[in-house]
Amino acid sequence: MRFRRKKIDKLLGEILVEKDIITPQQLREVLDAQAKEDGLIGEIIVNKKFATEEDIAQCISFQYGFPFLPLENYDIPIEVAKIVPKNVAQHYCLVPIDKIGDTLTVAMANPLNMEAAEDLEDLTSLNIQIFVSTSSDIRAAIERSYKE
Amino acid sequence: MKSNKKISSLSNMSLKRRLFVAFIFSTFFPVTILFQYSVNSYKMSLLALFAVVLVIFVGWWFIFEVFSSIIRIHNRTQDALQHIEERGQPQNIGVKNEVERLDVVFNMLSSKVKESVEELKAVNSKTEELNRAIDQKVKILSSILDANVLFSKSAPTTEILQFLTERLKEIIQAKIVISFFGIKEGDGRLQFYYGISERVAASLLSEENIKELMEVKSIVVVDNKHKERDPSFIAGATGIKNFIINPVYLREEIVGFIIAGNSMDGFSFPYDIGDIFNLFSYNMSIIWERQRLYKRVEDLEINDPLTGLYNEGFFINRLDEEIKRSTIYQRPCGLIAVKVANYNDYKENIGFIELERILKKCVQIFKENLRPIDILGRVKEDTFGVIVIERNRRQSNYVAARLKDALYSFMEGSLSFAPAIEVAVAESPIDGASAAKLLECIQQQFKTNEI
Repeated sequence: MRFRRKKIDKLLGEILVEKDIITPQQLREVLDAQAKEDGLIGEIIVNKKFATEEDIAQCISFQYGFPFLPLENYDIPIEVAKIVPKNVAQHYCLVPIDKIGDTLTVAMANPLNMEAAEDLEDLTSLNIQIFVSTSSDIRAAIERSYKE
Repeated sequence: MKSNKKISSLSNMSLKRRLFVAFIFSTFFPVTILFQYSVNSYKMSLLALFAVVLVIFVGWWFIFEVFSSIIRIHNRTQDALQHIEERGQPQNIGVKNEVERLDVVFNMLSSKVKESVEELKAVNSKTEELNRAIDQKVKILSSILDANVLFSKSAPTTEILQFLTERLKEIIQAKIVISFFGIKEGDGRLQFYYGISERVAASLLSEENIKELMEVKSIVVVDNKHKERDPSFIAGATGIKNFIINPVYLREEIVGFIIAGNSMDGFSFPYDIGDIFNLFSYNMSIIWERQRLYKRVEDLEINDPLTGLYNEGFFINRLDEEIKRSTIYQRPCGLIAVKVANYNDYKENIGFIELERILKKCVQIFKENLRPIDILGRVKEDTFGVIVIERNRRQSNYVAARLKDALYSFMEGSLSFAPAIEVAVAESPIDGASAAKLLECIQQQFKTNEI
């Protein structure tokens, strides 16, 4: 493994409750909603306005040590964007932001998605460095970077 | 009894002989007796006299009998002639001469015979007509029966419909017959042509006039008796002057049409042509319905009958669903394909029963080496597929290698002749975002392996 692998022993919901970002009652409500309608727990929490995307991203960053990177004003070079196909970026909600030597830096909404990181390694044959960002920032960045 | 015999033998004699016997009795015997008495100067006794009288009486009785017979024959002839004359000849014909009368009678008899011959001819032609009708009915029934036999033997629908179309052409002695089924989108279309090329049939069916006639939704006949519609539009391409367009109904819904025609001048279809078409279209609709039901059953079937695993259709559906689900949860979805190399040769070598046993054992090995959530299917006759839920290509490769090892260890341990196993792995999103794309990637890998 060339990217930093974190030991993940807690689920996002539990971490958010621990950090007092959401209440246990809200977590139950979110889990019920997830059981009824498919979706990621972070997105449901944001949709229900129990927390903001930034709250969740900051929480993950703090818990697992992935640096948080807001992408609003970040310009991604086209040659970097092209390293990862658009469909892969959209599927995993990630965007490559820089390439230095044989290391590719990517911003991910869910940095705990090890399979995505492995796929990037296999696709690019580069080391992967992961940053955390919000889903909406990443999707906006994808739209900006893969215009053509 | 003796006397009866004698009398009967006398009555059977010809007139000449009977006259001779009468002459003997009435003249010869009495004269002989009298001569004997006169020569020998006997005194004639009373008894002898009585005998002479009796013999003479018998002789005259014979003569009487002979003449009575002649008179009876004459009377009967007269009566017969009178009778024939009275029945056949108007009374006002005054025929005096018997020869003329006989001539008249003969003429009458001849005309009677002529009349009878005419009647016989009419009866014959009627019989021929009936025979033709019976023959046609027999042909219709035998066609329907044959079609049902084919049906019960599970013959392909196309074969049965083709057969019925061909027989219909033969029965109604049509020049062309076109039948087609599958009006609705998605039903699939079957078309049969006889006496017409596919190109001409296609151009005919695209004619607006034909389409209009189909809109009538009941049988349309155009012939010498039914001239409401102009057949020139059909005649141009086909030479057809008389035709029938008959819709094929199935549960009050039109599923097809039968079009038949011929090029005879002044021709009219028989009065029962509608019944014939109804019978054929009814049977054709049943066959067509079977085709639709079979297709539905096939679509509904989800398991491979041999291994009990998901079949190709269902497996692909499940793969598409899993890819969609993995997209929602931003997870990967792996696909492993395990192919038995040279499957057909291997099948021929070991036989079907042994192959079935091996395939079932393989299924067991797959299940032992996969998670319960992974989905296993038989995607081709020689290929198993595994949907590895939420596993990327790297993880799927581990699983594939494990499966391959397990299969080889089973084969090497229990089979005298083990086939080669090929494995390919694909993953969504890297190799594509649909089942079709992943399978394409798998096929590509198999091809590369072959090279």
